[in-house]
Amino acid sequence: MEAAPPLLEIDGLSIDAMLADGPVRLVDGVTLGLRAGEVLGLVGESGCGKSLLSYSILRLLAPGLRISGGDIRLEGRSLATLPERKIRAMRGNEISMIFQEPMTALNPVFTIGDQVAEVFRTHQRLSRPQARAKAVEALAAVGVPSPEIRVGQYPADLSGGMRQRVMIAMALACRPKILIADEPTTALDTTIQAQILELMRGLQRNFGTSIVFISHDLGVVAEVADHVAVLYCGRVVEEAPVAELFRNPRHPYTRGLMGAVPQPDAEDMPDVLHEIKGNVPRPGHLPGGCRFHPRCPVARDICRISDPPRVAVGAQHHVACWEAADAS
Amino acid sequence: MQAELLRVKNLVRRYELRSGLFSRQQRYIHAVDGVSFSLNRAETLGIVGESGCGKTTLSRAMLRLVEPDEGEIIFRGRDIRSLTKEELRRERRHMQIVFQDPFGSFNPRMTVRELIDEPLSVHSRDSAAARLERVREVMAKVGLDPRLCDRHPHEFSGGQRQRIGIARALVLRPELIIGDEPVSALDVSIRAQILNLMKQLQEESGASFVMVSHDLGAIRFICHRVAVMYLGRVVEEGRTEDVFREPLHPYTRGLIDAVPVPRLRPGKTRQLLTGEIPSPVNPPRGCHFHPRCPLALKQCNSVAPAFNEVGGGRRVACHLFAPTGGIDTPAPVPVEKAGLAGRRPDQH
Repeated sequence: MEAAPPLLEIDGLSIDAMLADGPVRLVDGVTLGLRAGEVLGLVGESGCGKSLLSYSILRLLAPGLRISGGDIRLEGRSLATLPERKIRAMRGNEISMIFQEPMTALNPVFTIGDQVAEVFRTHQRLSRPQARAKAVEALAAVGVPSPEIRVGQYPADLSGGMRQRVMIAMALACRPKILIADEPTTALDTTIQAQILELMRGLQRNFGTSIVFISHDLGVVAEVADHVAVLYCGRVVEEAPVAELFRNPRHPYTRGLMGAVPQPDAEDMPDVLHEIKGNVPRPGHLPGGCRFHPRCPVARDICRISDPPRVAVGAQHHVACWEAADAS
Repeated sequence: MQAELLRVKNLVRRYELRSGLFSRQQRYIHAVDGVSFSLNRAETLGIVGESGCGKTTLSRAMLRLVEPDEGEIIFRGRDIRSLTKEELRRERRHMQIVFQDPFGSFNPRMTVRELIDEPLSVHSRDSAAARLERVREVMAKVGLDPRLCDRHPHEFSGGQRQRIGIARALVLRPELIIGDEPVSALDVSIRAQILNLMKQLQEESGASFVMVSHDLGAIRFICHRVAVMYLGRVVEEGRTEDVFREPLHPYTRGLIDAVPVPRLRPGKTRQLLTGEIPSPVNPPRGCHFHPRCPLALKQCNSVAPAFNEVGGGRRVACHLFAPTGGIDTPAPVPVEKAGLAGRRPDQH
């Protein structure tokens, strides 16, 4: 695992929003790697750039957004400059994606069977009956009960959890190398979320699919990810293997996020929750120096003036913080 | 002070389903199906459950924002179901609600000052100057700069807007505040700020607080007591610390275990609940939870468990904790009589 070259490399990637009065940088020089068979968790609050980052991998950025620097490479091939035709062939085949709201991603006027079978017809050129049989198989593999009945039903007949299982079946139909999951369990109930996370972990083990898992919930990331990157204001502030991150969080923002969540099964509940003071700054109005410094409990003079460098603080553990930089 | 502020008895709220032209039977969804609890002054109660459990309907029904079909709501010693419209309007100043969505719940044309003043101008006869004084005081209390009172809500962030919502609820010094998922729309770092604020304000003001949420961590942090709901019924109720440290109902246990927490928990055995949340249109017979229950007994699919006191102010609706057993519901009950059918022995 240590020596394997990354399957997917995000290399100094920047994304700008093109506004009337000039570009505003939303993702700023992000470098990350996804190894084969690994789950990479991207965690951060709204506006941190985690979703943009994931959309940019499949070149699904909305109009007005553009990759303004850096590159994304799949097994060495650059995706940022690939022609649209080639990207389209890759979507669903080599890299596929699932979204937060499975209702909007499924077409309400076609049956579940039609929609799952379409993937096999499009990408593998199977006949209708063959594709139908494969659809039943694919639904069974993601734990949809009585799939031969479900293929005749419409998305509205299914619960949120079942719809997300259907989405996962479609996404994994062509055995892609990489699955991008953008908050796939956020819209689900707690007990259903636990089932879907369990399912994704199982599929990842069985098929060896690599997953980029985006979430605002550090708890969800703790359950699914092998490696975690914490984003703040368009930058990676800390990344580490999951066990290392939770054992030894080094960035004050990471520590703040961990302390801010009351845990229902904790031994003791604190009287006051750990707060991160202030608000997330808006893009285009970012503070100078370290972007976290106005909210940071340990900020010093240098943090207000100068961007902290990314330093290694352990095996595969990197942090962008002056305190860590001084200690190392 | 252990005086009772609110007592809800056998509250039922059902919604009629539009049925087919030739259907003989009128069908109902029992969103709230015979819920009883009481709330003391200065006490906080959490109502927790997943979608369709009825927690939001319950929070609306106890204020008569939706009209209950059956049951009593004794608030400050009077059954508010018997009040006239005008009497209810006057009583409303003592009960306020904070909504989940701080973006959708304000009139965008009003300034923060007008928004917070609105309940005062409706319910109090104070002069404009006195009211402004109170608005400023409440703004400061919830951590908003009173100098910003002439701005509009869109100029504030999500967390600040929720502070405005809390200020609006507090301005009349109500005796009961209901929070309907008050922190669910907020980012993690902001959520902690608002939870700390709500806890502090509740302790200072001595108001009673009912927090409706699917967020078990938030409930455990804020609430003295908790009621866990499943498909319209309360399945477990007790002191928060007791319920979270030692959940008795298998659903409560499964729910707590299903929450992903931001820490490592190696080797911890968790019981993941299987199956889906059934449709409230056709709830399973007997105990609603039995098809998903890892510990279901023989009688669970036919007999609804009684809501038994198990000591320490704790109640559980589960056959595992019911030495006396429940009442028989041997055959499917015609739905016209469903109000009676769902009734349990403790509800007379």
